[in-house]
Amino acid sequence: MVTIMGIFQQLDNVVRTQRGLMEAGFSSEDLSTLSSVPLAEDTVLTGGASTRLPWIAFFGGIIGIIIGLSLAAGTAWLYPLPTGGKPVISLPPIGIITYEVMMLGALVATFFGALFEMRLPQFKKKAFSPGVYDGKIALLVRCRSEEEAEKGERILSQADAAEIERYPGDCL
Amino acid sequence: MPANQDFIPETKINRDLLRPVIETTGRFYLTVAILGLVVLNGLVAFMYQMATGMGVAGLNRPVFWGLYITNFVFWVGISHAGTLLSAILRITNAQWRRPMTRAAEALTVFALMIAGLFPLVHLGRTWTFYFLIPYPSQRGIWPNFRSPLLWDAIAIFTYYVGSILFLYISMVPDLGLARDRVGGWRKEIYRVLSLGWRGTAREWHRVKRAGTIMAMLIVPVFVSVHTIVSWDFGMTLVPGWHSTIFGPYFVIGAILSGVAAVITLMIILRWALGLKEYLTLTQFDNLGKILGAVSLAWFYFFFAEFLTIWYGQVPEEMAVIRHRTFGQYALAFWVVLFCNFLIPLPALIFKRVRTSIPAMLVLTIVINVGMFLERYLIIVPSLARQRFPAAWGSYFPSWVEISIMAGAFCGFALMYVIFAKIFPIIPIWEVKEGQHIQRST
Amino acid sequence: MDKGRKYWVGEYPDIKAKFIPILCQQCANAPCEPVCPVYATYHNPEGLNTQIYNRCVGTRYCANNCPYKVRYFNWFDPSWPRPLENQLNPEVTVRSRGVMEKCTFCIQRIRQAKDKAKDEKRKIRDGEIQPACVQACPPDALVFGDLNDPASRVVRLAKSERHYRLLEKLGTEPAVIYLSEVGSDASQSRFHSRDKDKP
Repeated sequence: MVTIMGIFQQLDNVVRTQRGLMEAGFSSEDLSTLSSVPLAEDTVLTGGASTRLPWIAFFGGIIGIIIGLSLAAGTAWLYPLPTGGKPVISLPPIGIITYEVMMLGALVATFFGALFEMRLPQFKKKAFSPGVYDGKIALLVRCRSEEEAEKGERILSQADAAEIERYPGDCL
Repeated sequence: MPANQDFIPETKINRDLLRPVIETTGRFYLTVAILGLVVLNGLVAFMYQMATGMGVAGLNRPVFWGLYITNFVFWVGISHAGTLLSAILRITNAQWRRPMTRAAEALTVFALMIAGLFPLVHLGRTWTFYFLIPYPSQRGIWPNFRSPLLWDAIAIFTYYVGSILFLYISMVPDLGLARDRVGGWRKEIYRVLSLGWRGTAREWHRVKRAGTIMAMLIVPVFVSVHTIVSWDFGMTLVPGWHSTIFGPYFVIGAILSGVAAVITLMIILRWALGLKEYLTLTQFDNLGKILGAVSLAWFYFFFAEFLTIWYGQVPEEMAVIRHRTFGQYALAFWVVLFCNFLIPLPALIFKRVRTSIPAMLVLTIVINVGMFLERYLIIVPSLARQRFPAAWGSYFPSWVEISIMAGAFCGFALMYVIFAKIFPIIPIWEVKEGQHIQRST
Repeated sequence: MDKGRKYWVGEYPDIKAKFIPILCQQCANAPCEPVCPVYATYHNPEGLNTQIYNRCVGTRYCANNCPYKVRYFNWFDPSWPRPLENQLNPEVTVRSRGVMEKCTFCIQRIRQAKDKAKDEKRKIRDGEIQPACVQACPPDALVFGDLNDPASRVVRLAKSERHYRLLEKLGTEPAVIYLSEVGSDASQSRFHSRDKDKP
């Protein structure tokens, strides 16, 4: 498996080339861009598969609720000390603690869920061009065979890609 | 992002916004040295206090809480700007937020660090602070989650972790840029911190989604944090503290001092780092409008609290109100009213004031002086005038407390200066994205 | 215990100083207890509001929330000129700086009396426990005993017409009961709140 990369100056050109590649039989799963700003909404790509982040946040919150309850209610029950005539397991403080830990769980889960879905951290994938930071856009094509790679490179060069490079392996 | 102006080429944005990171001037070292000295002085004062006893502070029965708790409330308040300006403006998709989000988020993180120090400084036995942390120990005893102080600790911890993650995840793309543009020993730091960011379609999509979800999660946390701080007071039986108005009152006060602090910081950053093209008058104009509205809301609560007590004429609470308005703290009371409402509101009505950098600098500092005194006024006079006149007292901070407070202010500035030195303080990708959106419409 | 507090009653020239000793009221619903983040103060099974010095971290929250202002903080380490350290009570530890202090009802004397009664296999007799303040008071103005024992002297005294508790309206249920001065009009003082509906 190889990944080919072409550098473009204009976003219109990238979108046109993406369409051309998809007509030539590449699936949108095999295409990606490298850019200095978020482009997903502007191109034919959806930015990968649909995200599960809201659910990850939700389940983080559930775990938070369990931890919060066991902190506020569980620890009071483990070592019951009466204070001020209030019940050892008092609901209002439990509600407050559970709420805060629930939010903590959701926030932490969103963060790590996002890293997981971004497939970061990874330091191995080499398909990259620092010119991207100056506004250029790199188009990445994942090719499963040598014929596909040659076909992809042909389409990229026809589309006036400035540089075309080839990287071994899956570099999306 | 300059509105109705020419677009700035991305190469120039990179150059402008990374310059403060790459070039280090003598001014930077001088600032760090001066701030460091004041912090050192604060540390020495703190060690002296620990070695001698809490008595070196100006506290005495019945005023058991003083400047340290005032500072704690004040700094937690300041920290609320970050989420307000970054999260709410992100959710509502306000384009003018773009250049200032990171400055506001970093303000949140560092203000919370300083705020978190004060309860520790305030403890009679600071060295036993770990009794407050919930962990299984051989003593078999856990902290008391029925205590508002524990609610506080948990809420602030949540807010702190949330804001750091929020700040970091939106900074990863810029760390990728720094990795490729900054040389020297720092390159390795950026390489690790940027986690191998390249800017693929998938990465961008997730970064934006995570940013939105975290923004939506952090707004309710932000409301709860300052409410819980106010409940430290509201849960007690102390006349003048035992009140349900404190929750929203503290939140509004927090927004007022937080927004003011963001403006002050932005003015300093704009001047010190030469960011005139990025932090434009549009930002100051819009922030000025928010500030005016919040000042009005603050006065509403201030008046409602006062009116309710005055009309009821309950003797215990009237003793506090009288002490606050015409007694020993009268000067502070009237200064607060002028600083937070009577001066800023009429001034901020005028666009000429909102778009004048010197005027905004003065106004925002005035507001924060007012907000600091407001916290002091809520805490001290209530304690000094409780039910038994034989147990009335007074309080004035000692040199130890003032040294520690000065150290905290400079410690905040020091952390912020170093942060702005190591990381791009203007979110580069957000500015570029703003231009990108503008160009396509 | 507090050294006692003075209040001025009346207008010049008919002015009088009133004096009330205010010690920890050992409230049943003590406001100082739930606010402590480390359980340094809690309600023990005898109904005492206890202070566990070595758990205390010194937040001073309990002192703020005490409506009677009878909690004290050790601002410095205690020190005595020699040889005054010899007057220290050997049955009580010396507390360090940075912790709260309060009236314990001389818990060491309660413990001793209980131990002795246990050894002799009997119940504690009424009046057997005397906190130091009770022992030292020559006119017998302070009485200590078990409020749950209907036969005890404190219960008999507490049934008096003259009984009142400090700041009773706050609902803290103090265990210390005062008797107003014979012949004085209790309503004169704003610190009395007599509630006849309650026993």
